[in-house]
Amino acid sequence: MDSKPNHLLVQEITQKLDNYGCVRTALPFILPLLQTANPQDVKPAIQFLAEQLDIPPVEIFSLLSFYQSSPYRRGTQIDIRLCHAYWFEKPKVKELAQALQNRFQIAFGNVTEEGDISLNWSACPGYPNQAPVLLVNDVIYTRVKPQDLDEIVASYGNQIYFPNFALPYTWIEPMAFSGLKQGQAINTVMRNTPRPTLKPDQSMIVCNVDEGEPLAFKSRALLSEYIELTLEGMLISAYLTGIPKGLIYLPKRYGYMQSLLNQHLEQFRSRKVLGENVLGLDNFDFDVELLVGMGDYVGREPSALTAMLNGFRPEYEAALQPGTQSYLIRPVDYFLKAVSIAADAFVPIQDLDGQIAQTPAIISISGDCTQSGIYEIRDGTTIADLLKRVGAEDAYAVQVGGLSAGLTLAEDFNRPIAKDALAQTASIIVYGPETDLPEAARDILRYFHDASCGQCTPCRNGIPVLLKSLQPVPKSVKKQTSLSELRSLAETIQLTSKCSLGQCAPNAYLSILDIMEQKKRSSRA
Amino acid sequence: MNPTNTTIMESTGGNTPDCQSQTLIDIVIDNQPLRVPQGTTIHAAAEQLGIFIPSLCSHPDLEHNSACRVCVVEVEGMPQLQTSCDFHITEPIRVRTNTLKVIRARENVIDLLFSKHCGYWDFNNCARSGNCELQALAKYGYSPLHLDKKENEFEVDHSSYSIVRDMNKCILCRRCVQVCQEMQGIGCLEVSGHGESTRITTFMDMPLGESVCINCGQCVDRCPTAALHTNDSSEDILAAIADPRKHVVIQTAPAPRAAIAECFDIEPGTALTFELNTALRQVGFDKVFDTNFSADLTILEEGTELLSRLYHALVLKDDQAVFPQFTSCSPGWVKFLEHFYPEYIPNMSSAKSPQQMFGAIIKTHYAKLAGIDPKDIVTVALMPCTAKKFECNRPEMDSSGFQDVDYAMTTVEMADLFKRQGIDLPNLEKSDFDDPFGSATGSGVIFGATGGVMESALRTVIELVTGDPVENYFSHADIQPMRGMEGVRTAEITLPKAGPVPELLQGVLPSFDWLAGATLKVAIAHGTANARKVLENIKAGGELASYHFIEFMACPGGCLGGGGQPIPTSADIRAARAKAIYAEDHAYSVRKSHENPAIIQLYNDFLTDGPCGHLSHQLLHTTYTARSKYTN
Repeated sequence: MDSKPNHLLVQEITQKLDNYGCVRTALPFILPLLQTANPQDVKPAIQFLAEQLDIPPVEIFSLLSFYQSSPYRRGTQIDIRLCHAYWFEKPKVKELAQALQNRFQIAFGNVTEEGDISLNWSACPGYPNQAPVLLVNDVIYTRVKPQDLDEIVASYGNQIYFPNFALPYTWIEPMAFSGLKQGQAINTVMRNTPRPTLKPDQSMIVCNVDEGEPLAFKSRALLSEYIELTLEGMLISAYLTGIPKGLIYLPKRYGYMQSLLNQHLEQFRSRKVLGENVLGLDNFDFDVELLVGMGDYVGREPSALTAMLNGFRPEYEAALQPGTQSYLIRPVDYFLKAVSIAADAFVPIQDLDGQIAQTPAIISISGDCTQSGIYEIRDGTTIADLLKRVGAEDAYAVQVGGLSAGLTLAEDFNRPIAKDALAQTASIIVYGPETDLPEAARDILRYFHDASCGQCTPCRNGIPVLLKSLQPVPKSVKKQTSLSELRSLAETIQLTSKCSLGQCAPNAYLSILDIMEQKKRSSRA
Repeated sequence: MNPTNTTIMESTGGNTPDCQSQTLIDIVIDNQPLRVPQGTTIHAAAEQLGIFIPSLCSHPDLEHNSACRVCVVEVEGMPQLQTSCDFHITEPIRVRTNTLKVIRARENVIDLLFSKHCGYWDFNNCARSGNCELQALAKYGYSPLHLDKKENEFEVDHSSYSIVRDMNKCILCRRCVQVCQEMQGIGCLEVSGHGESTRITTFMDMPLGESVCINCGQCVDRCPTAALHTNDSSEDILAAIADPRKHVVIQTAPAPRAAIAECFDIEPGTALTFELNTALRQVGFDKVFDTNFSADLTILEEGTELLSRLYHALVLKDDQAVFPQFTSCSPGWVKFLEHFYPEYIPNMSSAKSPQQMFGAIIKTHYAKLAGIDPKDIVTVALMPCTAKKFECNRPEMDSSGFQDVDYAMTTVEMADLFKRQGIDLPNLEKSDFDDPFGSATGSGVIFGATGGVMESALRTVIELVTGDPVENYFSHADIQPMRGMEGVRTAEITLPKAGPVPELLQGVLPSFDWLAGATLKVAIAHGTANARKVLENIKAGGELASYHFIEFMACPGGCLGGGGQPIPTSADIRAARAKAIYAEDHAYSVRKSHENPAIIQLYNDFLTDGPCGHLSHQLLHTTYTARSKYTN
C-alpha cells in the first residue's frame, strides 16, 4: 500500500526544486534529504519526486541506493562520527572507538534508544596523521583522547555551539599564491584579457574538493586555508571561459566545511563579487553553489562525477541521455594556480589550462612522517629530497600517487618524482620500517572494494577475492586460491577494468605481495 | 485511393550501423590485414576475418555498455586491454585477439562471472540450460582461479504470472535494464547498490508482480542466463492432460509457428504450423485450434467498434466516442496504458485479444457443441508472449463463467516440452487444425507482425464499407504501407465510395453514406518506447491526435518479437520471422476475416445479434483498470 508522503519532507523537496529547477540535475541537492529521512517516508518522497521530474521512480531509487545508508536521522541531536583510520594510526582509534561505545552503550552504525545520539564511522575527513579524528555535529576534533569525550559531549549537552569555524591546523608549504592579496589577480585579468565572445561548451565550473582517495587531503587543506583565493580563481575561470555558474563539490566526508564555505559565499555575494553583473561588468553573471555529496570518492572519476551531477548513478562513462550537462571539473589547486598566473598576466591569457600544466604539482603527504602536510614538487625533486623535507629519512617505502600506486622501495629513492605518477592522485604515502604490510594491503583493498561502482566484472567481482585472500582463513575452507592465481587475477583486474579505479586497485597489493615474498626468500637464505 | 505514408516521428528500431563514414582504415588483426570503414568495431572487423571473439553483455538490439569485459583484445600501444565490442576504429591499429595476456584475462573474467552465478553446477535444474550464454562461455574460461561456489542468497521471485526473477543467477550484464528503459521505455528494472552489493532490482525492491512491469518479457529475451525466465506452467498442463476427466484444448498463435523452428536449430523464417499440430496431439492435447480464427473474430468486433465509434462521433456528434481508437490485443501494451496513460483508457478498443475471445468461445459455444461440461475443459494457448500469462489471469477474464483461458505457454516453453518428451518437431508429418474452428484466413496470420492487425482491419473495413474487393485498391490485398519495421508508421486511406451496409452490421449502423470520400488516418507503433512517443504526441495535441485508429504492440516487431519467442532475437531474426508470416498469409485462399466461413457460421449460430451485439459484449469485450505509475 502507498503510504502518505511526509508533509515537511515534501515541503523541503519542493523548495529545493524551486531553487535548483524542476530538472534531474536537482537530484544531487535533494537526495541527501532522503538519506536521513525516516525509512517509511522514503518511498512516497521518491514517488513525489518522480512525478515532479517525470522520470521513473526506480531511477531515483537506483541513485539513492548507490550510497551507503546512514543510521543518522534528522532529529537526532548529536551525530558522532569517527574516522576509521588506516594502518599507521589505528591503535589509538581502536581505543577511542571502544570508549565511545561504552559511553553511549551503542555499537557503531546505531542510534541510542532515546534517539538522541548516533554513532557511526566516517570516511577520511582529510586529517590523516592527526588521528583519532572525531566529527561531532560537523565540528571536527583531531587527536582526541578518551578523556576528552566528557568535555566534547558536555558542550553539546549544554546546547553550546562552536560558532568559530576554525579548523585544525595543517602544514602547507609556502607557494606561489600564498602571499597574494585578494582581488589583485582578477583586476589584472580584467585589464589585460578581453572576455570571450564564444558560447562555452560547459554549463558549470566545478571545483572538485574530492581527492578521490583517503589519506589524500590536498584539496581539503588548500580550500580550508585559501577559500577566498579559490573563489577568486573560479571567478577568473568564469571570466575567461564565459561559463555562467560555479559549483563547489564537497564529498560527504568533508561536509563539516559547509557552513564555513557558505559564510564566505555570502560575504562574496554581499560584496557583489558573486551574483549578477559581477565586479561592475555588464552581462557578467557568476554565482557559486555548494553541494555536499551523498557519498565519498565518486569525484575521483570526472565522468562519474558528471553523471552524479546530472542525477545519474556515479559510474564511469555512465550512459547519459542527450541534453545532459557537461562541466569543467578541476581540483582546488587549479583555481589557486589560476590566481597566481592571473596576477602576473600583463598580456592576454590564451591558454590557462596549458599554463597551469606547466606549474609544479601540489601534493599531500601522509603516513609515517613527522611533517605531514601539503608540498610542492618541483621538476627533478627526488623521493629522498622530499622525505628529508617531511621528516621521514628512515622511510621503508613510499606510494607516489597515493593508494592507487605501487610501492617504491628505498633503493629507488634517488629517482626524481614523475609528475605523471601524481596525475591520478596528488598524494604520497610514507611507509616506516615498522609498517604492518598485510594490514596496509587490507586497508587499501578495503578502500577500493568500498569505492567500486560495481559496473564492470573484474573490479566488482575480483577485488573481493583479493581482499578475502588477506583475511584469516577458517579451517573449514579446504581449497584456496593460490598465490599465483591471485597474482593472475590481480593482473586481470589491472588490464580489464573499465576505469582507473579498478585498474589501480591491485597495484599496492601486488607490490606488497612482492615484498613479502622477497622477505620470505631472504629470511630463508 | 491514395495511401500516403508519412513519417511523423523519428522511430527507434535496433542499432544504428557501426559505420556511417566512408573513410577506410587499414588495420591488422592477428597479423591479417583488413580495410574497414571508419567507426567499425574491432569485434565486427574480426568477424569479417573469421576471427571469433567471445562476448557477453553486447546485444545487437542494444547500445554497448561494455560492463562484462569478456570481449577484451590487445591493441598495440595501449597498456590496458580493450573491449572489442565498443572499440570503434578511427585510426590504423594492430590488434591481437589470442595472446596469452588476452586469453588469461578472458579466462579470469569469465571465471569471475561464474563465481557469482549460483547454480552453474546445477544446470539440470536450469530453465536456460543448453541455451545459456554464460554456459556457452565456459569453454573459454575453464576455472583457473578456484573460486568458491556462491550459495543462493536471494529468494526467487515468483510473484509475477509472467516472469520469474532469480537474482542468484544474475551476472549483472545490465541488458535487462537497458531493454526495459531504452527499448521499452518502462523503467521497471534498474541497478541498485554499488560495488560488490550491486544488484538489479525494481523500485523499492518490490516483487515483480507488484511492480509496474508490463510483462512484455523483452528482458527475458535479452537475459543471457536464467536470471529472468518465463513462469512455465507446463507441469500443470501435463497434469491436466494426464487427468482423464479433463478435455484439454490448445490454440496456437501465428508468431510461435513462424519461430519455433529456431529452437530446433533451423534458420529463422521457417514456419512449422502443421508439424506443430501433430506434435501437440502427440503431447496429448485433445483438440488443436487456430488462434487465427479468433483473430478474425477480433477484426470483426474491433472493426465494427471503429465504424460504430466513427458513426457516433461524426454523425451523432457523441462526445463519448473518442479518437484515436487503440487496438487492444497486446496485453503488454494494455498494461502499459493502464499504468502510464490511464486517461486514455476510453480510447482503447473494448474488444478482447484473440486469445481471450477464443477462451470464452471454447468454454461456451464449443462446450455446448461438443457436449462437454465447461468445468472439465482446460484451455491452453501457445503464444509468443509472456504477458499473455498475466492476461489470462486477469480477474475480469471469466465471462464464460470460468477462467476463460487456463494457461498460456510461450514458444520456448513448448519447444522445451517437446524436447523433454522426445518429440522431433521439424520431422513430423503435417496435420490440420481441428474443427469447428478449422478454417482461418491470412488476415489472422499477419496479426503476428507489426502492422498486421491494422492491415487485416483495413482489408475488412474497406470491403465492408465500399462493397468492392480490396484487391481493387491494393494489389493482392497487400496493404504495403502497413508493413515494415519503422518504430512508428502512419498512413492515410481515403474511402472513395460507400456501398450498402452488409447484413452483418445492420444492427449497428443504418448506412455508410457518411463515410463516402472520408479519409481514414491510421498509425502503427511497436515497442512501448514508440508507443510512449505516440501518446506524448497525442497528449500534446500533435498530428496524431487527429488520427482515427492506431495499432500498438508492446514488443519490437510485434508478436513475432515477443518475450516468449526463441532466444536470441535481433532485427534480422525479426525480419525473417515477418517474412515467414507474410508468406503464410499468401498461402491462404481466404485472406479477409469477414470471409472466414467459420466466422460467418459463428455469427449465424451463436452470436446471432452480430458483432458488438449483446452476447459479443458479454463474451468478447472487456474493461480496463487504471493503475499507478509506481506499483501494480
